[in-house]
Amino acid sequence: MDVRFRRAKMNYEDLTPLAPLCVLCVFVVTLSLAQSPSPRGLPVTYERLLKAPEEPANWLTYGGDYRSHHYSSLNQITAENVHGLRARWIYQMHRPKVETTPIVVDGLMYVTRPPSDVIALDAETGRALWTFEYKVPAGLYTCCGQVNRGLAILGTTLFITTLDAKLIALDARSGRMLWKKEIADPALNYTATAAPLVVKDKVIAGIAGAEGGIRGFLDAYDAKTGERAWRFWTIPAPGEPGSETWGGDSWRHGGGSTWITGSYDPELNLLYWGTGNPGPDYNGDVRPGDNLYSCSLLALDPDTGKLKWYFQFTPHDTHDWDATQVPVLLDSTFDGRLRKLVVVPSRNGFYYVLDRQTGEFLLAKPYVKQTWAKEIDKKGRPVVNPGQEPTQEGNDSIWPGVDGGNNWMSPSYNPNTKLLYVSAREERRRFFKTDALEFQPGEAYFGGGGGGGARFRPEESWGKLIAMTPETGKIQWEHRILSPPWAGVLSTAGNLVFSATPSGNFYALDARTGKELWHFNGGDRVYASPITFLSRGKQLITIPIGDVLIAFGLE
Amino acid sequence: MNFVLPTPAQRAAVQPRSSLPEANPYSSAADLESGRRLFTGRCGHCHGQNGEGGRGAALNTGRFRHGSSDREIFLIIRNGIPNTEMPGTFNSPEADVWRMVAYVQQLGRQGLPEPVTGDAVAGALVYRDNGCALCHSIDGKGGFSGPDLSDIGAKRAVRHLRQSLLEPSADIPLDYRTVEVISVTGKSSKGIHLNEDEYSVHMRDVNGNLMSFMKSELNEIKLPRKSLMPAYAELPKDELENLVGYLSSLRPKRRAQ
Repeated sequence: MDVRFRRAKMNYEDLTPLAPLCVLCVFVVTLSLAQSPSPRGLPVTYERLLKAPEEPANWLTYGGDYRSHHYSSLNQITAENVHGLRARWIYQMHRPKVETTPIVVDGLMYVTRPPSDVIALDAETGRALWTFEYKVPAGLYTCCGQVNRGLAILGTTLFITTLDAKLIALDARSGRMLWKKEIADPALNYTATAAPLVVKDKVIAGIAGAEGGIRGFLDAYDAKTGERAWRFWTIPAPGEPGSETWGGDSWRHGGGSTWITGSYDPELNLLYWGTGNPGPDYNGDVRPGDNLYSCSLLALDPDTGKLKWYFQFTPHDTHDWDATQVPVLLDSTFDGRLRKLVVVPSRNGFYYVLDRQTGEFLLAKPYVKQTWAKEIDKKGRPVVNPGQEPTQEGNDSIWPGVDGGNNWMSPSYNPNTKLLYVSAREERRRFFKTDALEFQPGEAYFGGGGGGGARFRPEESWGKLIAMTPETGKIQWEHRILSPPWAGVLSTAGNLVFSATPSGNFYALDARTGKELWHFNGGDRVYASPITFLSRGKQLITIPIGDVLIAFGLE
Repeated sequence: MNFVLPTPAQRAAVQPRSSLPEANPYSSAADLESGRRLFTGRCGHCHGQNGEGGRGAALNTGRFRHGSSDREIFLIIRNGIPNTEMPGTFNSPEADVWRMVAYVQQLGRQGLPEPVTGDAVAGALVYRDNGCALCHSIDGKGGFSGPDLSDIGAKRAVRHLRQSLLEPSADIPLDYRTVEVISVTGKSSKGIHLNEDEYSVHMRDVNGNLMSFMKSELNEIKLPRKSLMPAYAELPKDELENLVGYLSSLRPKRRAQ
């Protein structure tokens, strides 16, 4: 115990692990695992990732499992006892805008800290065991803060993408870097913020920067060597399928980033990944056409990167409505037939149900107020209303706002209630456009904006957590909150749903009725999704609130 | 109103002064026209589409309170002004910011006098006689139920000052919005809306009392969008214009004299 205490103290004083200490570090981790009631620890094999739902003690992937259900079968904390939930520990990050989702493996938590650091925490105490600090070069162009959303793990290796568009592999036992590969050139406004996803022996890594005029793609890397296995360009080059949807040379800076982690169906061997807005965001005049494959859901072969099908939610988007939502995979009856579905609460304000085998459009239904589309037609294409485009003076009649009905925060599907829980944003916003602009390295490439000083009434901006029947999009109940949220949702077998508000309140609802059962004022905005796991056999729930990570448990 | 907590920094860093040229490198006729169009979408909403001012300061007078060189105006547009409602344009390319600088300088060169017809000295008496100081303060003297007016002439355009006297509810500053709560026993309380979350609401009443309410103990919460300030539409026109003249004269430089 003395050794452990001393190490923790040194780690606190000197956050950069020195080589001689790593031996000690490995020893401490081993000691910690020996004390953990969960016997498995590392390595986290691909087989374990496939069966992640069978390890509720852990949180092994960004979405909780390959279907991105963001659900846990843990049931120690229940609707009956959740009133006794208390803060157990706090890990201070001292950095703005923490959007991360940790990974938990048998008593150890791996978490990212902005901009691109990784920390191993004792899940029981919140004490740091090692810290990997990554120095991000100055002067990077980023649109929306120096954020990072998490990690992937395979074997004994952690994977993180960095703000300067690198993919890094770390030894999970020491925090030591194994390899670093450039995904793209950050000087050309490429940046990376999403948690990677491990599929078989590959690491799938998305890219960001469509506000800076990038040409987007999705990459796969060999988990052992870091060699790139394939790249799928989300914006086709002239001559490639889809290139006819871009006028002139506009494809070169066509955006279509891939900045939120996708899902995977091992039976169909298909990877599902959303793509972001076309560039420039608000001035569509320079890019006539549908602008494939921006604002789309892609189904790709994870072995080759070959496109199996795509579905575009918002053709020729001019409102920055990225389709970078977490796609949730469900097997359910639709129109009397058992089907493999993928469901998406799109940023454009409609909830979509697709057949995930074929990409067939099955259903779309608004889940927040929207004014831009008359309807979604039988093929899934929006019938657009007039007067809903950004204008030079500013158009303030548009719902949803620039941040959409949902954004990147995780939804949750609960197999017990058979409900899908979604954080939803009700918002009217002002959109304006500026002249067509030249791409410049290090500069923004918006062509307008989605704010501009307009003040709206309280009844024009609020938030809610909705519980819907995923097969129909029918809303069963909703829990209203004061302002549009940025927190994801966790649901559990304890008949609970957890989420948080921009006022700083972390709360729990009855998963069946939506009745509020518990809340805690964490004192700052929440830009993250809660997760749950076991530590020493007891269920804990963590969520980043402001710049701290807080763990909650029963007394 | 949404009482969300302050937004963390959205941009990587505030643009440093040293990296900029003194003079605007984008000031051709085409840049100016481009700057005008950028201004329309981004700035006109507060500063008036022709720079005549509104909630934001008038820009067509040639008086720039926070600096008037190209570089200073660039930094204001790029970074915003801390502790004011003036945001930075973190998502504009540098060239576009320079184009807006060119247009703002052109607006300023018009050197239009603000359309003040009233007499500021007489307006000070109107201010005194109508008891404005009960709620407003100037240079530390007065009440706090309404906004501090020490620099109001520099912050708001004349037309906005006049409108605020005639229709105080037309554009209520964010910190002075009102709330009324009605308790489960039927008791009503009104005040300035200070804070609110999902479970509680907080106000300062007209007597300056800070009050906190749990929503579970309330029947109703109203956000009337009505200013606590009475309208002065009945004021004789000359008195109104004098009062506008007085308010418009309240500027930081006054204190330096």
